[in-house]
This record gives sequence, structure tokens and C-alpha cells, in this order.
Amino acid sequence: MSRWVMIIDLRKCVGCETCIETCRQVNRPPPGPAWRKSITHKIAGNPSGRQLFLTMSCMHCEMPTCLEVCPTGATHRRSDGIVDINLDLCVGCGSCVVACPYHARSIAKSDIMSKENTAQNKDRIGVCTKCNFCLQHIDAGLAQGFKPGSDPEATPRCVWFCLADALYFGDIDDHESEVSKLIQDNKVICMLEELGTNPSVYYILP
Amino acid sequence: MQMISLQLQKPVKQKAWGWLAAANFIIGGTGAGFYLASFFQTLVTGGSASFFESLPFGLISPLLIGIGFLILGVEAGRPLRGCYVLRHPSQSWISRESYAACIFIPFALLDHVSPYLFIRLLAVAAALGLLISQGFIVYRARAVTAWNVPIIPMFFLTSSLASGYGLLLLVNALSELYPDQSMTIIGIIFTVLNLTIWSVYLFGHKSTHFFSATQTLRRPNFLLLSSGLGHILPLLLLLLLLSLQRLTIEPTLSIVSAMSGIFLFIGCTSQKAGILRSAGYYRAIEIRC
Repeated sequence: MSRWVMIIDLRKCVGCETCIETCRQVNRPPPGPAWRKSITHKIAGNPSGRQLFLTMSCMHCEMPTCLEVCPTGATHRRSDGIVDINLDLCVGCGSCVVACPYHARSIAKSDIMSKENTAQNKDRIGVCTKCNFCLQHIDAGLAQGFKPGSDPEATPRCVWFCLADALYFGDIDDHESEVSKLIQDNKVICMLEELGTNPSVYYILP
Repeated sequence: MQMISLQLQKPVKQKAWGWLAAANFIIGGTGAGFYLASFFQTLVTGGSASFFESLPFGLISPLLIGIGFLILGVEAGRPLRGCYVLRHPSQSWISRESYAACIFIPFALLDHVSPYLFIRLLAVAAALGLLISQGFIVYRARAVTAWNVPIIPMFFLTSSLASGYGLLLLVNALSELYPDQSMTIIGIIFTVLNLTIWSVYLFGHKSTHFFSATQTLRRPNFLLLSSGLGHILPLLLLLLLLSLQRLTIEPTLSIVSAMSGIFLFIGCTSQKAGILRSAGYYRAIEIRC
């Protein structure tokens, strides 16, 4: 069985935010916090003024803190590791929002939406939304025999459109995959590792 | 090699749970605490239920808990799907709280209409379950530093018992009923216990993130309200009540009882409101390398 992971190479990321804009264009998330965001951090004591650009979204944790608090079962973890939300079951209670330490989830309230937005996002109003690794592309691509991470048809859009080739996606259980090799060959870290959530998004530090 | 922690994003205030969610914890918690305090009252009065029958506690508690859930429904994005929250009692404390409320409300009402010990015990267990669930709902919010501390479930239990007791004192005074000595001692125990847990919560954690998130709660003005007016003053009034009970000067007993109830209720409400609203900061985003 595959387990999808993403690797973000911070040595290559230039902070162009193409991943964020691509996500916005492809997934058209409801107004509110974006599904993918970027944090710019000035490295202290660096005379060249070098900055760290850290793009982040849902970490698709192996032990998701959002899943255990969901009262309806709307939040679920698929066998391939993707943490997804069944929008028809979500009541918008917000318990997953305050449980996610990565600030990856949000609930779009209708009062902040324009009429046009409301019409476009009927099924996403008042429920929790977040990054789902573009699972619709992964599933459709896999069904047609494409390989996620290698073929654009089965790869999350943010990864495929990254201008700096800083984002990688693939199957961590396949030892020959690019992501497995990158993890073996580099010092990778996960965010807030001390919480024991085992995220599926890894970072290669500069 | 030494680990360096880089803070990439400072803690920001959570907006997912607003005043309405806090109101549910306060009103629902007080309702359940009121029922439990009333139950203790019936026990210490020898189970003869003289207080029990004369008090409308069988109605007040379900009403408060019902109001709490209605308020929560306003906050939820899709309130019409409310019944779905009962789907996951095996893992979610919100589901467990909902079950506890669904058991508590009809049984408490039934017990009020036709008092029966077994029904009352079921309602007591459900009220206790509701309070425990509330504490764990807040504790499981792992993104919020001030909430995700192990003492939170215990605090929500003691705070709700104390605020429920405060409301009971007020209702008692309005019904011209005065707590006897044992009931006053129970009130003193609730107040001291909650004040102790509150102090441990505020001053017993060394994490810098926790300390900065809960900074507002340690400001002198807030401490004066939550601990001074909200606990120490009612504690002194309860001690006064204990000594006045020997003299049985009824108007004075009534005033002291009502005052201590009001201040205790205000103190406990300010504690919960402070934790849920003022200290509700998300964890900082950090990487360790």
C-alpha cells in the first residue's frame, strides 16, 4: 500500500508563493485562511540578510490530532495516509480547528462571503476545509495508471507547478521513490515533532 | 550537537471558538454543577429531600444545559446537522458530552416530575459525565497552549461544581432556604478546591509559551476578580455563614448566602471566560534543527 508524503526543500524555495496561488486557482477554497500558506523568517545573525521561506499546509499526520476530536467522523484518514474531510458530515463545530497545531484548518462562515462566493461554495460554507493533497487528481491519475509524484496527472498541483522544484511528492513505502531517497540522503525534519503527530510533510533544511 | 528552535510564527489568537462556545461551557457547566451541588444538598439533609422537593433544581439544570447547547448550535457552521455529533463517542469528547446531555435532560426532568432515586442517580452520572467531557474537549485542543494542559479537565470539573454551588446558594436564598452546616462545609471544600486547582493552573506550569499565553490571567485586576472577589470573598462569607448558623438570624443568613453565591458564580465564570477567550492562543509554529 502506498503512503503519500511531501518533501519541501527549503534550500531551493525562493518564496515565490506559486504553490499558494496554484492551490487557490485549482481548489478555489472558500474565503478565509488559505489552505497553503508561506512563512518568511529572517535568519538571525545572518549578515547577508538571508531568509527562510517555509510553505505549509495540512501535514496529513499519521496520528492526526484533528481526527480524534471530530464528533461526526467527517475527518478521516485514508489508507494512503491522506487526511480528508467528508463535507456532508461536518457540522463546523471547530474542534478540529483548535486541535490542529499546524493552523491548517478553517471554517468559512457565510457572513464573510460575497453573494458570488456563497453561490460557488455552497457545500463548503460552515464546514471545515483544508488541503487534501489534491486527492481528486491523485485518485483520477492512479485510475488512469499514472504515478503520483512523477506524472503531472496524479500529482498535487502545488508540487507540479513549483517554479524552484522545491516540492516533492511520492510514496514513502516505495524505497525506490524520489521522496524515499531524499529522506535517506538528507537531514529532514518535521514540524512540531515533539507532539508525536508524525506528519507526512518533511522539510529539508538549508 | 545542540538543537536550535526557530520560531517561525508567533502565537496568534484562536478564532474558531468565540464567546458563544465559551457561553456553552459556562452555562452548561454551571447547570450540571448546580444539579450535582443540589444532589449533595439532598444527601446531607438526610435524603429526606426537603430541599430537593422545594427547589426547582430539576428544571434549572436541564434548562441551563439546553440553553448551552442551543447557544453552541448558533456558533456551529451547520447546526441542522447537529445529530451527527452523536456518531463518534468512541473517540470524541464532544460526542460524549452530547450523549451525557441527551441522557441528563430527560432523566432530570423525569425525576422532577416523579422523583425516583434510580432516575436521579442516572441524571447525576450524566451530569458528572458532561462536566468531565467539557474538560476533555478543551484539553484535547492541542493547538492551544493554555488549554492543552493536563490539569484542565480537573479544573473544569471543580470550577463547574463551584459555580453550580454558587447558583444553588443564590436560588436557596431566593427560596428563603439556608444551607445547613454540612452544606456550607461542602461549599467551602468546593471553593478551596477550585481555588487551589486554579492556582496550580496559573502558577504551576513552567513552559514559556504557556506562561505568555496565560499572562492576562495573572494580571492583578483579573486575579482580583477571579480569585479575590470570586473565591476568597465567598470563602470568607461562607465561614461567616458557618458561624452565623448558630445564631440563626435569618435575614443576615439570607444576605450572606446570596452574596457568597453571586461572587462565587462570578469568580468561576471569569475563570472559564478568561481561559477560553483571553488565553486562547494557538501554539507557535516552530522547527527544531
